[in-house]
Parts: sequence; structure tokens; C-alpha cells
Amino acid sequence: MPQAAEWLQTAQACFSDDYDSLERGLLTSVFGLVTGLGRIFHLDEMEDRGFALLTGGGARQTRRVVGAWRRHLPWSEADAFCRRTFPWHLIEGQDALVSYDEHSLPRWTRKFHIKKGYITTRNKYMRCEKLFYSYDVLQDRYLALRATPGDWELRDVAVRSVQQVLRYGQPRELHALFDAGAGKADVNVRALWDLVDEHPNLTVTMRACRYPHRVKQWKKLPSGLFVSHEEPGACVGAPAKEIRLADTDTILKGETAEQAIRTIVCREIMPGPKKDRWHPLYTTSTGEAHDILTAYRCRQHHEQSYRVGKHDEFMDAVPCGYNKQSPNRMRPGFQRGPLQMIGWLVALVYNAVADFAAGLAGDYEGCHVSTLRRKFFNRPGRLYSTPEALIVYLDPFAEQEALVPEIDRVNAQRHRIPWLDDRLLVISVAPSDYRGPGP
Amino acid sequence: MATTDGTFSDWLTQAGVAAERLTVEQTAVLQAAFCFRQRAGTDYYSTRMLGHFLLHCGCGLPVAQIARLLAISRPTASRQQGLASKEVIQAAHHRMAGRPHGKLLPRYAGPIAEFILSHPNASRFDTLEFIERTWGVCVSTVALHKFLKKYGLDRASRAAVLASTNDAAAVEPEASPPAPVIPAEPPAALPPGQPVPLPAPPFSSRRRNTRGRSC
Repeated sequence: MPQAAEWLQTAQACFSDDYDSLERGLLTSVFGLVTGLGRIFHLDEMEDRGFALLTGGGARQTRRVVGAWRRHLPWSEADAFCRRTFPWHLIEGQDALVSYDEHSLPRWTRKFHIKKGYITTRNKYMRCEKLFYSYDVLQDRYLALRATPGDWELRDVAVRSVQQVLRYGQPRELHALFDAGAGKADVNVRALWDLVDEHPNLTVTMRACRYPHRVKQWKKLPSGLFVSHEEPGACVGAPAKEIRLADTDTILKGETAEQAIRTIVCREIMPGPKKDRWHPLYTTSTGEAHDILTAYRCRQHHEQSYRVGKHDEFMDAVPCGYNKQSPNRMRPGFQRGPLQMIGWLVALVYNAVADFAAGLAGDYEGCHVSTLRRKFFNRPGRLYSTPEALIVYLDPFAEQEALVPEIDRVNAQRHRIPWLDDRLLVISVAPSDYRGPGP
Repeated sequence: MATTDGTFSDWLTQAGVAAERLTVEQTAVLQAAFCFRQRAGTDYYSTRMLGHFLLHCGCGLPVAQIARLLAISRPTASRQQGLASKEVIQAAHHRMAGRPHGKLLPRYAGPIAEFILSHPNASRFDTLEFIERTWGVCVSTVALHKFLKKYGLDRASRAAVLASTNDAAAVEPEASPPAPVIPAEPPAALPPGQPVPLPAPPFSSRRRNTRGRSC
């Protein structure tokens, strides 16, 4: 709630609210993600007075106002909102480990001819739109977003995204992690390496594309170059895994041996008749090969956040970026505003929920959004609206004691609800072994 | 002034009550009261109970005389008029419980609101007893009043809400009055046979705003 009030304040400074729908639209978009409102048209079937109060008033909501607000967000205003809410304070003056990756949103339209892109999960090219997020893998928080049409690739935004983090985030040291999509061509790799030369506090590590001729070279490396490391198996009791790391150099296309870039080749030994797996990494780091590999593996947190976003926050249901009112369906154009804004709200809610989980008493840090929703957000209760305050009184539930520190923190901050006549927000849980208010 | 030593006439004299002006019934009641004081003593509980009895027994003694007989001040005796017996005992307990301890946290507001609204006639001592029983904290009546006022749960705020509700009902008898407590229940379904209300006007006008058709 406190974060939502801040976002509303920021949005009111950024958006021109000609139709008086900003408050309702933004709050519904935010709290819909928190409470698990899968699609905006589900609003028509909702009969929740608490949700209506939470999102701007007592009247029952319809999808029209909210849906129209989401679809008509101008790019410049959405961008202004995003710039003001990117959480750069998380990495300012610190050693940051930031991952850059894309999330593809398949679009199933046959009517509009929008650009196609590669969807890895479906292993095919299809109409899509893309969200490129920057993600702090050490703190597990989103940092920035850029929404693009489906034919954009990670290599198109890689340099600009790193520059953005360096400029606005001002980290002491930035270690940027990229998937292979950022270095499909050697020229893309060189562009990032040139950026490293410009910024002494920047380190880049990316997975190298496994082009056959390169893989052939790496396989030819002498066995003495590889250092064996043992890693725990897949589960308790499973045999340990063996990986072999080699530190070598790769000469990019059209370059000389002096310009060769450091390459860490990781060979994962597979038991039995299976082929070994090769994971080559390009890096500008001068650290130990195994340390670099360990840092790079943190990128999986970013992939996990997409999974949480997709399944728990309905990331794939963000509004379309193409213009459905376009007179020419063969070239509908691209409207970045709705895609960028709602995509970034997904990230903001993800960050806020992670902050909430960290403040709970007990081991809840890292819990998924749906877990916290099931345990803490979607709880029945009563609302007491007095002239001074809105008292939220949650019915007793199993793990309510974990909520007490967070409730005390929110209550102590004395948050007021602007859309409820500035009433004070007070949250209560039933006391332990409480049997009701009887005398 | 009032002592347990001496005789009944001394007690009346010390309190400035003229024995010859008392009726037979008043004399009988005061003799019983004197006997009670002789046996039970003059501690706070006994004085409070006796005062409550004398104030409400209908013997017709003036409040000032009762105050002098019990050696309490006139305003104190006046304040004790009209209290329920339960309230008198609760007040005596609260008075003798010693210095309040504990703090009313904001998160107590929900259960307290529920208690107050489900027990509209509860006294402040009932509320204090509820707080002590529920959270084990003993707070003063002043702290309770400040807490209730801060969250709009005090008697004055509730009365104001009720008054505004009644005013609105008087102006618009058809309109449903805004209730001070909003239940977290879904609104009732429409009765069968009633027309479904029209949805809110859409954000965009129904008129086409593009030059050509989109398909």
C-alpha cells in the first residue's frame, strides 16, 4: 500500500489525466497483480468491496475504465513514470551484478501483421513483443525495462541498457551478465568490449554462441588446459558432478590475435554414453575462472523472476503494443506506452512483494508472489471506516504472527489513503488465541 | 470527618446532618450504613459501595450530605450518580489496580473497533477490561480515550457519524444511508425481475476516431 501511494503520486505528476481515470486505472493495475486478477475483464465478475475500496473508491468497478486507461497510455508519459520509478538506489555506490535478458510475449493475432521474433519456449518464430529487463541478481530486484517490437534482439539493446545502468545507477563496480543473444555476431561482442574500455568500473560476461567452428576449436584445446572441479549432484545422495574449466582466448571475426578476448570454456562431464556439455563464456573479468562461472550462474535468478512474473503476475497479459485502431492492419505500428507501463508495473509489484517478504518474521524471503498471496494477501477480514481511519481487521489465520512486524512498521509510518479522504490506514490482526469480542 | 469510632449521633454531627430533620426511613438507612462502616471499615471499596448504595437507594438524602458522611468531595459524589453497579465495581478495580502499564498499539484498533461496535453500550471500563484480557496490558482511561479519538472510534465521532447518517436519511429518505462500518461482504444480488443497471459510461466515445475502418 505505501508503495502504491507513492507510485500514484508519481503517476499524477507524469500523466495527463484528461478522463479522470488515472487513479482507478493505476491502482487496479497494481492491486490486480497483487491479488491475482488475471485479466482486466475479470473485474466485471468481481464482487469485492474491499478491492473496490483499495483501488480508488467504493463503487463497483467495470473493466472499461481501467482497460481504456491501460490501452491509451502515451509513450512519453509512461517513459517519464518509468524513469522516476527505476530503483537506482539499490545499486548506487555498490558492486552490482546485473543481468540483462528479454522476455518474449507471444501474440496470437492473425488480423494484425506485427513483427515476428524467436520464442525459445515454443522453438519457433512467431508474432511477439518483447520486454527487456535489467535485473539485479544479488538483491533479486528489477532495475529497468525497455519494451520493444518482436523483431528486436538482446544485442540491439545491450549497449544502451548497460549505459543506462552506468549513467543512472552509478554503481561502484558493474558486472553485466548477458545470455548468448547479446553476442550473436562478433561485432556485437566487440561493441560491448569497447564499452568496457570506456568504463573502467564495468565488467561484462556473456555466454558465447556455440557456432560449430568455434566449438570445434574449443574441443581441440589440450586436455592439460582444463582444471577439474567437483560440484554437488542434482540431489542429496546423487553422485557429484564434474566440470572442467579451461581459460583460453577467442579471436573475433576480422580481428588480430592481440585483440583476442578471454574465454572460459566449461565442459560438463556427462555420465554414461551421453555427450558432454560445453558452456563457453566470454568475459572481461580478470578473476578466477570458477568465480566467474559462479557469478554467471546467478543469472538464473533473472530467468526465475520471469517465471514468477509469467505465472504469478500474468506478465503475458500486458496490453498489446500494436495499435488495434490502426487503419492499416498490415502495418499497425507500435505503441510502446501500454506495454512499457504495465510491464514495469509488473516489475514494481515484484520488487515491492520481495520487500514485503523480507520484512516478515520468519523465513519468507524469496517466496513467490503466489505463495505470499495465498498466505497473506488474499485473506478475509473486516473493514471499519471511521471519519479518521480505515481499519483493516484480518480474520485469524495460521501464519499471522509473521505479519506482525510488517503491520507494526506500516502502522508506525501512519500512511494516509488519498482516495479515501486522507483516512489513516490501520491494519490489525486478531490477537493470538483470540476467541471473539465477547465480554 | 467520618470515623468508625464513636456513636451514630457523632457520625451525623461530624457530617453536619441534623438528626431531628431526618425521616424515620432515612434514619433507618443511615443506621444500617453506620453499622456497615463499623464492620466493613472505611477502605476505598467499602466507601465506594456504600456511596453507590446511598446515592441510589431513594432515601432522599442530598448528595452533599452523602459526600460529607462518606468523607468524599461533593463533585466526586456527584460524578458517581447514575452509574451502573458493574461500572462502580470496575471503576473501583481500575482505581486500585495501580499505575497503568503497557501501550495501546495501532494494530489493536481492529479488535477494539469490533468490540465497541458489537457492544455499543459498553463502558470505557468494559473496553479496558477487554484490552487487558486480550493483550494483557493495563492502560489508563485517558490513554484509551486518546486512542479511540485518534482512530475515530470515540463516542463523539460515532455520534457525529450517526447524526450525519440520520440527516442524510431525513433529506433523502429513499437513499441508502452511508454506514459507519463497511462490511467486507459482497453487495446483495439483484432481486429477480429487476432490471440490471447500466454499466458506467465507457472511457472512449463510441464514435469512430480513426479515418478509416480498422479492418
